[in-house]
Amino acid sequence: MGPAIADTEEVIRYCSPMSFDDDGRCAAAFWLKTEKNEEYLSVFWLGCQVISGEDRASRIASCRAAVAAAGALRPAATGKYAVLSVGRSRSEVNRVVQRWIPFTEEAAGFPPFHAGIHDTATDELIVADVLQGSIEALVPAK
Amino acid sequence: MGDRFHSQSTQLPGRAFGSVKGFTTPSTLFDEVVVAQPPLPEAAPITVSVTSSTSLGSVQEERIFTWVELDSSFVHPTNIWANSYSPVFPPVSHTPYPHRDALIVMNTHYMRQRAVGPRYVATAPTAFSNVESVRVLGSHNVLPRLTRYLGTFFRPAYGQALATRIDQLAAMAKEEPDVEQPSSDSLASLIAFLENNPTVKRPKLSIGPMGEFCAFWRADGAGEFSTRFLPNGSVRYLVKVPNSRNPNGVDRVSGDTTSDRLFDSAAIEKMTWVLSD
Repeated sequence: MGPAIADTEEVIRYCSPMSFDDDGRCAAAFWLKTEKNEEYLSVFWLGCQVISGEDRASRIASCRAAVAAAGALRPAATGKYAVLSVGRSRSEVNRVVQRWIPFTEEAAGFPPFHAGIHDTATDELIVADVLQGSIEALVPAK
Repeated sequence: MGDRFHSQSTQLPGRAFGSVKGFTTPSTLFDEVVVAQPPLPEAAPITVSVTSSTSLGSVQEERIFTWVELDSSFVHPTNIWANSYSPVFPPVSHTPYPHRDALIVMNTHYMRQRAVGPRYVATAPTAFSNVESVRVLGSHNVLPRLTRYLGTFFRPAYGQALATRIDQLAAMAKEEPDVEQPSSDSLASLIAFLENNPTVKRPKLSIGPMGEFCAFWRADGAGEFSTRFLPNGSVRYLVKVPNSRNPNGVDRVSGDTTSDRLFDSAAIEKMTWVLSD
């Protein structure tokens, strides 16, 4: 597990179009690949030094370009990024399941802006439901 | 391209039934023809002959064709042409057992060759769970088959609408080669659950990270029921309801079970928003 990301930061999580149900909810985007022993939820850290921009919108645009340049992800045309506040998400999860889930840098073997949300496997559907409820914004991934 | 066969003669007294279904993917090496649907005459023979061709050129494909008779709770397979390398199968007459809902001819050769991993098998099988568990043995991708089932034999009235939504999700999956494709084992598990519990309303659907089908039921102010039908036959679920003693509170209960225990384990009978009026 890499260094912790500060609560004041924001991350974005890719949500495949398939992960949205008929009502536009996307809890499934916050589930682990259980049968592949996925250890954490991959996210992109908008505050990483290689991501530029003065505000959220420009940092997301910078992140999109960095993702494409690194070949880190091939988002679908209608895929979305869910914007999460690290502090608000951790606080909400702690309020419901009484534990602080770590958001950490996970750059080893990945681009430097790659990060992870750990410790979501226990009570996974509850944690995912809370994370979905914590989404600050949904923006196009392309 | 895989095997392809044609129904040559499918005569019932006074009325002809039958359709031709071909193969479209390399992994689909068998197919079936529905030769008769209700009402089936009792004690009347049905004659079928099959011509089976292959685009594999000189590769000799062994074929075994099987009658499958089914009703809502029973599947009865009978081999009619076995261990043949000939592409032409002579006419055979078969008299169905009484009170069957349908009669299908399947090429079952590949079903026998392929191994499957451990999976839970429903203990309250329907015609669906029986016949699909047989079909799943023979193909890596039976999704089109399952959606076709929803539009024909599926008992709840929303079958076609569900099939349309599944087709929509499958089309989205094709745009994303990097993600897990929709799991037919997961879909089979979901369909078996819905068919065994016909009082359950049509669910909202999405696809999870393992290609599993996720079904949701929710009603404003009443609650939410979320399920994750994993490819191995297990189901994870979450029940979310308002806290009756705290207007701002929410109660969440999650669990892990199998599709044939889901209704009881999650106490669905108490979830009015999941059940039909």
